[in-house]
Amino acid sequence: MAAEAAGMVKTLKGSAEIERDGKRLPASVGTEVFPKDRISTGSNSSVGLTLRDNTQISAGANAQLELSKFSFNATSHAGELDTSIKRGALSVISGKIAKANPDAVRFNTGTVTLGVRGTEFIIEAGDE
Amino acid sequence: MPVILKYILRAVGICTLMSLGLAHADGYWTSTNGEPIRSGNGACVRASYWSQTPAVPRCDPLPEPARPLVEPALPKPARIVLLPDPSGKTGAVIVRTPSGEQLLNEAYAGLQASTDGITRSIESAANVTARYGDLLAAASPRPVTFVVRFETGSATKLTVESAAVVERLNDALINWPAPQLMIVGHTDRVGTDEANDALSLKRAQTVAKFLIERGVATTRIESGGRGKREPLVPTADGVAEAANRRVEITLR
Repeated sequence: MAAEAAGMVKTLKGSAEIERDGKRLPASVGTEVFPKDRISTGSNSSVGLTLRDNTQISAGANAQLELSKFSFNATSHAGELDTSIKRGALSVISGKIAKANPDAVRFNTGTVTLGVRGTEFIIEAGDE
Repeated sequence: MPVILKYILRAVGICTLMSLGLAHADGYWTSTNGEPIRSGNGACVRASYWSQTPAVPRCDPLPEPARPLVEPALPKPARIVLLPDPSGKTGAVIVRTPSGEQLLNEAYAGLQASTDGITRSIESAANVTARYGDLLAAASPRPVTFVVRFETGSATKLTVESAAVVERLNDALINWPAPQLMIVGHTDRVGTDEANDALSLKRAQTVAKFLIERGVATTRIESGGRGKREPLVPTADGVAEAANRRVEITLR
């Protein structure tokens, strides 16, 4: 069985790429994203995703992030979201996983780990 | 030595140089072996067209590179800013760094973290817009939830108001990018968990069928049931409450 999609691209400006299983795919509105996908944006570009639990993540120009882990059970709302930001900035509105279990939603940069109690924030990677 | 003699000797010297030497592209007189001709104190003899630009290091030291006006930039810190939601409420995030844990729970609370440590701040809305305006504009549309209700115990009988919900949903779909629906059924708190899980899922499936039959066009529809876990109106277990017998259709 194919892994369940974590979410979908909803907005795109300029260009964004998804790296999955060593292959690079161009992102467009309607492209699904899966756990372990690496998403990168070009200069003057941005991308906005909505995940299955309603988490909204947008990435600005020259950003690189990895959707390291995602799972969500629509009945129990149990799940996990782990995102790493290698470069650039993300704007995030947390969803149902964070509401049900705040410790299950994490955003990492090289220097900090963010635990999300809710709901809206910006996180920008620094130099490592 | 009389001054006049000095001039004569100097003139003779220059004439000798000119007869021996060649004007070199670098801007110095060179001898036939290509070496610059040097005067008594060791300095290369410059041709009339010498300038700073083609000066060669073996004759003139190169000009020192201009010093940078600013010190080399410090490593860029990671930054976090907590934002209020549209209703003005602000949540909280916990920031874990090598130098400890910090709680941010105020609107526009900011934090910068680098290997040198942590700096906290309160940002202004204007600062955030200036720095992150493009990023915030890239946000996907906020998911919207529509509610349809059921008659008591029924998984199939929608209340009469539900048709209006479909109309509103169709309106919202017009400009929605790659729309997806999550349809989640709920029950009141009468009955067991198992029975309510099954009933809530059936209610969701009824609504999914209802929407598909009415031509609601989306990329994907997913159904689920939350049973009695999430009553809209909190009640004691066993209480029949119409408001809790519902299906939430979330457009994302």
